[in-house]
Amino acid sequence: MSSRIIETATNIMMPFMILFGIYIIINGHLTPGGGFQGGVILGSCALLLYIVFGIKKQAKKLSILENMGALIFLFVGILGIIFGGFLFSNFIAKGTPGTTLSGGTISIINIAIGLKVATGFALLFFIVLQYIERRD
Amino acid sequence: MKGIIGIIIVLILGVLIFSSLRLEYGNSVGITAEMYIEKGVSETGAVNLVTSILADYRVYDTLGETIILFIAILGVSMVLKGDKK
Repeated sequence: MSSRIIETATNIMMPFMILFGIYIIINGHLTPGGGFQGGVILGSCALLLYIVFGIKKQAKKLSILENMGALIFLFVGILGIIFGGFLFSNFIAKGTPGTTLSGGTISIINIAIGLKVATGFALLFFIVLQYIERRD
Repeated sequence: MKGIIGIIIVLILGVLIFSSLRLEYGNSVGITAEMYIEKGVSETGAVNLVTSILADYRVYDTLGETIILFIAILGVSMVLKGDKK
């Protein structure tokens, strides 16, 4: 399913969509949004790429990235035991509220969840689309 | 029979809607909500209160959601990647 119009529109829109998803993840502690929402935006970017440009074999790398996201999340929690005393304690300095480098572990957790959700949804779409292609 | 069930459903929905009109929204209930609103910014450093609850106070909930997503992807890949014909 590829026409010249869809390919050109995707080429124009794709950088802005990816930038918007990353912005939603990075600014999760300042504006509405967060890891899940930005991750879903990035995952739907991957879906658009699959639909327009076809599927290539990248599933193994995606699952590695997804596991990395989950492991970063758990690693931050375990570092919280060492430095703060309990699981998932906010042990990094909080900073001034309202700036990008505030919130302590919240932004790290948001980035880890965003990585995990984005690659997870990309993997999910990849598997389902590959299954549909194989059946046809 | 269908008419009676329909009348009962409409009555139940009407009672629910008209009783929900009399609820008061915007008033804080309980100590926990007051604590989040007063101390949320100073304790977590995040301006967005929803994120500070999701990623700091109730981070176990987020961990559970992550595990649910992981298990969902695991199940889909187990079911749909099985046949290689």
